Amino acid sequence: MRLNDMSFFNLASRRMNWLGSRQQVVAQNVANSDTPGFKAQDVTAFADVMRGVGTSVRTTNSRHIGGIGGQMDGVATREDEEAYETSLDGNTVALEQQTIKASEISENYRLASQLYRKGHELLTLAATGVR
Amino acid sequence: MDPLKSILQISASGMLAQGERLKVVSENVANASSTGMSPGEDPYRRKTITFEELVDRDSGVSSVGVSSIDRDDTDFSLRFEPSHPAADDKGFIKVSNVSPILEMANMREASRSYEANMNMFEAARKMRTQILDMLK
Repeated sequence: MRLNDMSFFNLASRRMNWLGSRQQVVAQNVANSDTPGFKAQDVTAFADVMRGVGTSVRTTNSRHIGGIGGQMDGVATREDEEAYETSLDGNTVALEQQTIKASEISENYRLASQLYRKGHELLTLAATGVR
Repeated sequence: MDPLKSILQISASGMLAQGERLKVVSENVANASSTGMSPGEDPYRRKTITFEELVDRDSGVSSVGVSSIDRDDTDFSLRFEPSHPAADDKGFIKVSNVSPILEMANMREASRSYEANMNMFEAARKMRTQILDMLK
């Protein structure tokens, strides 16, 4: 039985993958919140990833520079259009905004991992009849 | 690299950079009243620090680092103190261009940014724990 082939588990794990990539981008923003000229970034929306819209850069040669390493297929990093603050040195990272985003991601991650676990419990229940 | 793993690395680089900034601030504060020892000698010149984005070519992870530590070029102010060894023939000595208010603001900002990085670290750690909890 391959859990990832079932649409439910596939969805949950893709969601967690995406949330992980997004949290990485938020961490990069926070780390660079005092770097002159740094532009805040965000990743492709999850709905677009599911539809396969925002495809990342293809690398056909080992010397090509791809997207961010470890990111799942279809997730591309781009400049954050919702960043509402530009400081004098050209930095567009608003720490408040990033903090909200980070806790949002954490919560969604918890949700996705709980869902995965629940799905697993459901399967156990179906197979054994005991919870 | 696994994004959750690289967050720890990114946040650590942020904390390291802010720590370095705090070090420069404390050097400035400690040397705020350092003057020269002979007439006309320059006192302590305030240090400044700049950050830059560091992109790892292999993993694409963009962390932060210190790009340079420079000296502040603003003019020194003069203080009348004829008995000082660094006093010129009119009795004035040059005092350093460190402004305590500026250093205080800088210090606060550095510790806030440090905290923000720490929170990201904590968030990533929690997410990892959730994944590991699924093994239970």
